[in-house]
Amino acid sequence: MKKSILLLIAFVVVSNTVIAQEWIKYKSDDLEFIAMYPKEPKRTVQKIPTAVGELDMHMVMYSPAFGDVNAVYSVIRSDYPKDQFEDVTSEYNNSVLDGAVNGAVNNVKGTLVYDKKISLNGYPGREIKIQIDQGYIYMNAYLVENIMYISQVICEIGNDGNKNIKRFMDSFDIIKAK
Amino acid sequence: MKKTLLIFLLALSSYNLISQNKIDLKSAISGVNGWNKVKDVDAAYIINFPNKPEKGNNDVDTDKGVVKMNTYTLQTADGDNLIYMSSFTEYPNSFFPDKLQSEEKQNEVLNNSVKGAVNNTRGTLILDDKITFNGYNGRIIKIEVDEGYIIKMKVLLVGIKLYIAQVIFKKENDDNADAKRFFDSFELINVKNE
Repeated sequence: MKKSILLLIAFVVVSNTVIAQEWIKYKSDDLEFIAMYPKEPKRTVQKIPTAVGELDMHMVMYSPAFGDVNAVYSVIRSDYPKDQFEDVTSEYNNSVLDGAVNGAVNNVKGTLVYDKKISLNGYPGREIKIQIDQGYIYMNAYLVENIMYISQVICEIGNDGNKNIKRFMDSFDIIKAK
Repeated sequence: MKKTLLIFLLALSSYNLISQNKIDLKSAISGVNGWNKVKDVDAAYIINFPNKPEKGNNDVDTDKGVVKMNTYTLQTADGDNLIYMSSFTEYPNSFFPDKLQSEEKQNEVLNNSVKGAVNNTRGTLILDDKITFNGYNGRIIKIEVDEGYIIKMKVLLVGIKLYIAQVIFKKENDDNADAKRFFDSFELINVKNE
């Protein structure tokens, strides 16, 4: 009996290891980013009305139905008009990022847990965590010239701080394409 | 044999070893699923190695003058591959005033890189495929060298910057999974111009 249990445990460990290794690399040449997802994500685009006109918001999201410690893994790219980012200062970029952070907190009616200034390949960004009713939203926002990239993971309170959050966030990068 | 192959590899562009530096602030190595992710912001690329590679830089003699080649090298004691290496070379503007904008010029540089690699290893070119990666021209080549070893290289020309990823394995381990994982992990990243 003991041997069977050990075999079962070994199997579970091996299975989990295999599952953990099965993340897939998602690469988009036109959206110019890469990220590792637990499973194949879906790509969508939405028209968002803004003060400067309609903007395309591209989203690449994986939302596990079950069997995952997180509810959502997603990357969002929004392109702002280029002429609004010509010769801008770092203060201007910071104000745009502030707007993104405040917008995210207000839209989900959440509470900002932390807001850290970060950078990715020299581009400014923010690492934030928002507490919502049933969980947390982890979000990294980067401003690449006139393009805003947001990578985010949503988890339940009981799964806060799980390894998959960091794995996903760390895997995101902006790529150079012709 | 491994030592000989490393010499082959180091001789690919007839350069002299200058120094082996520790990882600096603008490059970082982190664990990715058992492999080590190298992110070099100065060279603007990422690539994963099965273990921690050694960073180096070398002077390379070319017909137009000397250029600096920045490398990451890993020799392995086991596994299907003996050596993994990535390199980055930025040519001076004076070498190519036209910035290699025409495809003809790009092919010329890539052809010379392939020829140089074959000549320096005294090997036989057994594969030379034209590729495009993120819109940039490149080559996938295989060179068969002594004692049944193969050098596989992915060469990419981005403007006047040359990126090379390469692996050496025994002929019977051709296109093994770790080599594929290494090549597939290579990516050009967007870095802000200072």
